[in-house]
Amino acid sequence: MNNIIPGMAIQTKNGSALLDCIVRVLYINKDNNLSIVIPILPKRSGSNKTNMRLYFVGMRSLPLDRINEEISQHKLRLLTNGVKPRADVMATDDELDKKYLRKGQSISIPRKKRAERYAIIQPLVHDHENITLLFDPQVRSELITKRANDLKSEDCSLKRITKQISEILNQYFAEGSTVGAVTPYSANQGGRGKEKSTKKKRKLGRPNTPTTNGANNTAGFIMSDQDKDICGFAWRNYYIKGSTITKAHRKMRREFYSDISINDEGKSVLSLKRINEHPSQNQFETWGQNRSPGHESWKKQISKFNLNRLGRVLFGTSDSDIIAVGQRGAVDSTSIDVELVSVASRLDRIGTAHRILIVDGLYYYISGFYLGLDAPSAETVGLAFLHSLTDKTEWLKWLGLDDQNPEDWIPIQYGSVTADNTDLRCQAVEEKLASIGTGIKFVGVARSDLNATVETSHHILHRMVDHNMHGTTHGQKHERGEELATVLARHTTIEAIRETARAIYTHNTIELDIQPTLEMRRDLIEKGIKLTRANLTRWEINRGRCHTTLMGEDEALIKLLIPVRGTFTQHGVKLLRTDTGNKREFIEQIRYISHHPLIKARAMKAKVARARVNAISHDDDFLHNPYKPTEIFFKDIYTGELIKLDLVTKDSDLPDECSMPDIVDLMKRDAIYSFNVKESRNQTLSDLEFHQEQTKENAEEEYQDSLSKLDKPPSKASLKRNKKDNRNQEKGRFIYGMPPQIPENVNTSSPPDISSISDKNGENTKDFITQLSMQEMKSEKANSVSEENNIALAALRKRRERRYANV
Amino acid sequence: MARAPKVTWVRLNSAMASGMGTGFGEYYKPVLEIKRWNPSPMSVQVLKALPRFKRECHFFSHSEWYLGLLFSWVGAHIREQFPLWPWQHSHPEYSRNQEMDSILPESVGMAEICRDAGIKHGTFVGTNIPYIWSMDLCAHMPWVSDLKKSTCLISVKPLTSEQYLYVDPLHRGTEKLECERRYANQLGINYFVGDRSLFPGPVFAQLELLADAAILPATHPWSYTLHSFLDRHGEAAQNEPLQSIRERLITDYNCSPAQATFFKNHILWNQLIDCDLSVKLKESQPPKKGGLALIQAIRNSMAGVTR
Repeated sequence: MNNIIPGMAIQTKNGSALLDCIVRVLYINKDNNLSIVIPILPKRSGSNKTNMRLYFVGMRSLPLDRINEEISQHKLRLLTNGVKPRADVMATDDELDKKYLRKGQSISIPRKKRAERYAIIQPLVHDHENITLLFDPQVRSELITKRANDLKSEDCSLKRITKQISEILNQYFAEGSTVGAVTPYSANQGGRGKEKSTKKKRKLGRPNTPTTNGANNTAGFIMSDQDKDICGFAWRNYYIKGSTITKAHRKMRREFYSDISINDEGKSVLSLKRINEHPSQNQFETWGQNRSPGHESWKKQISKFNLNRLGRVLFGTSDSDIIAVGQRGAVDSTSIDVELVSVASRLDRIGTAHRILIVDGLYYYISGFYLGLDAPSAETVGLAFLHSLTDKTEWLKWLGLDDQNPEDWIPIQYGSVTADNTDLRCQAVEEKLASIGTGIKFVGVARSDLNATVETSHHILHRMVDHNMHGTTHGQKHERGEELATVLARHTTIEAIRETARAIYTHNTIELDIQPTLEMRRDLIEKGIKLTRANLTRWEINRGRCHTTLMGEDEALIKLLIPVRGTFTQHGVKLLRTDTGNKREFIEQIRYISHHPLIKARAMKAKVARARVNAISHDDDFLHNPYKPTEIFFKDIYTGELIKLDLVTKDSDLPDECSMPDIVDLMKRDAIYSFNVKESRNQTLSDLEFHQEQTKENAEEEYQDSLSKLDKPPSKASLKRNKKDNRNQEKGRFIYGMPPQIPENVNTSSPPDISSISDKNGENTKDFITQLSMQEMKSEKANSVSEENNIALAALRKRRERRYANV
Repeated sequence: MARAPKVTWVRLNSAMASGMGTGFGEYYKPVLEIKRWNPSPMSVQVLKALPRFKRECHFFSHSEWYLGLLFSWVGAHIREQFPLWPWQHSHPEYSRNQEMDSILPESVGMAEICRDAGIKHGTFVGTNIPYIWSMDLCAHMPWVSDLKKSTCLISVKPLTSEQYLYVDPLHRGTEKLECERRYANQLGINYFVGDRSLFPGPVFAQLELLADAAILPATHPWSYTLHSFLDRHGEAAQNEPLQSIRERLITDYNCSPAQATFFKNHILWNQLIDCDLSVKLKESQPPKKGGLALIQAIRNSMAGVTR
């Protein structure tokens, strides 16, 4: 059983025996199983459109149980909220005037008629308690007759006034039983923008000048429906970009309103019809537009491309459907407006650099960027995304930006990113981003306005950084007389990165001049938290309004890390330089260790099996983050486990001061130093060997001299004999088993009396040595060295002569 | 910008042999893909996987992406840029269930349909190779038991643009729509033209946010936490502010904030608590019921069921 109450509406559906139209419920009496309803929509009388009249039919009594039965059988449908009344029914007097008031009127006709019609039935309906009496046909008839008698006049008969009251009452109940319910259907009676239909075929609009002046047969063209369609066709197809209304009108006349004749030369000639036999230009313009909705005149002069942008009313922006952090980011690249110089020498100009920005769409928070000399590519875009996801503590330290709070660099993982059709439109980037679950939305060609998120950020950074630096181009063409930006260039790439980082940090942490929402006021402002992009982004993340996936940030980071070749050694993993071609060369200063069993096992294998297997067999691929050189990762291909290895270096400043390319660069510079060191070492060792040779030659010569003094050379047996005695005698001459240091000015021609210069402890010897002044020693030494050199030179010459002779 | 490769029979045959326009789910290969050489002058092209599958989908307009997402949410399996071959070919569901293949009707092919309609079929530019028409979205509806009618073809067109507000019957776009309708009619499957303006605005933004949390494999370690939470607090969550889901997961279940956010998004996407996503969600209020009813309504509309 449905709870039907007055005011509800009942709609017919399929095969209802009770109703054939939508009705309004006026009265329900469950005790008597009675319902009184009235059709809501008026009926039309007369087949001719111009004679058509609207009228409302009267109420009907229906058994309530039958209605309920048909509702349950889905033959009827109960509209519990009733039906929406006409706009004019709801309109106030002022609104009616605003809509219908014509020139010279103080009150509009609908308003006036409404008041008049309500005044007629007011005595019958104003008493709400007794209004139900009108639902009884007999009572209603009596009441209407009584009221008609009151209103009767000479102008209007009783019968007519009775009928009028009855009709007004029907409309009153059908349209909602309010004062507005009796508003006439003025909206159906023509008006601005409506096509006027005339009873006779006559011209609309004012007469033309000849007709006004009494000329016959010169009245303007009377438009038929077909003529109007022709105007519409011509408007759509002839009035196009590059044409004018006049030209289009002429073409329409040529095509549709002309006679074809053959001239004397046998050629066809189009003679345009006379002025009152074709639509005038005004008619063309009026009916052309009228019959071509969507082809407004202003659109005709705009190119199709621009019309796509301008020709639609969009109640929003391209980012208005972004409701959370990371839902949609934006990526784009641009060249910076600064000319740079080389890191090695500031006199060397290297041109400008490329900057790739990644911006979150919710608050335009810049989460990461790439700035470098490499043009946008899969690699550099990957680096920008890596930067966006990386914790930036180490990177800030490397840049010397210790004053920045690393927590204000919030890593963000994106669900999708908007991009234009340049940097990201390649398979490598698509695959890389797909691996971290980030989709790409490519805006239309040359529609960078749809990627406003990042384009605005470019603009902001150009102004905040580039245009304030030495060597800026200001993003404009060079003008004569101006100093070239190349000449003014002073900054290196590192400085550009540092200043960009500083500007982005400012952009993210500067207080925003926005109208705070009630939530912002309650959660942030009242707690003393400033409205900055970083704070707002963090606030949204903390509230759970951020993009999340099953893939954590760390895992996504791993997918973006750059593969680097390294080797397991007994001391850990050493990375191999990538700039040496096939030559395997370690990045010596740094190594990475982990106490993971797998890493220890590989290091042990490298230690014990280094000679048995090829060195290449210890090589493997590692993953490396250039923004965080203190760690690398090794992926166990069998278990999929990612093992983190930490950096170890003797140079403790190295991780803070240098990125990986810097370390390689340092190695290159160190190679020059090593080369010089090698030369120096060779020289020194050569000197050593030279003196050894000399000593050997001298010894040999003296030995040969001693031999020559003997009658015959001693036998080998005699040379071995008395070795022990000889050794003891020698020992006797030595102090502590060492030959004593004897000053050079001491006469050594005769063997010194050891006992006179030395006691058991050798103290006298020391005293003796210290007696010599340092000065004397130096001069003596110099003389001795020069003498030795002369001898050595002579020996060297002698040896060379001998060698040449052998050759 | 790179140039489109010239279409030849050899190339076309090799593409068809490699599975272009065939397959289901993860293994479907669309007939058109986003490449360097086909950027759109009008539309935002979207390259992203739809929930349940890891395959990157190629949507040639933002509306296609949004509708694909919406239909995925209600449980449909989407095949984008689905080919309507010019020659006689099998039903879109052919080989999904081999036992049923014999009862599926065949299409006469677009060439014949166009001929019947008096519309030019078209060839690839500069060749006489018949053009391969593609349907923006082909949705398989697992909830429809009759496999013959378990497909819905959707042509995504900007209904608010003038081209479709004031339809010119001679316009090629309109002609094509008519042929697509006839194609679907011949196979006895449902077809409609739509765009995102047919659906309440907030639903797309919210689905886009929730989509990446749609799937949580039963074997995933987090799965146990989710089920424990739902067993204990599932019913209560219906009447509590949305933010209480996260708060409870963080405090009672030791979840990290990111994990709790994932769970909340997962619950909302899968309607584990009934929540109407067509209205803007307010964290401080309980979820408004109506999500399940909305899903059912969209399912009925796709299947062509009238109540």
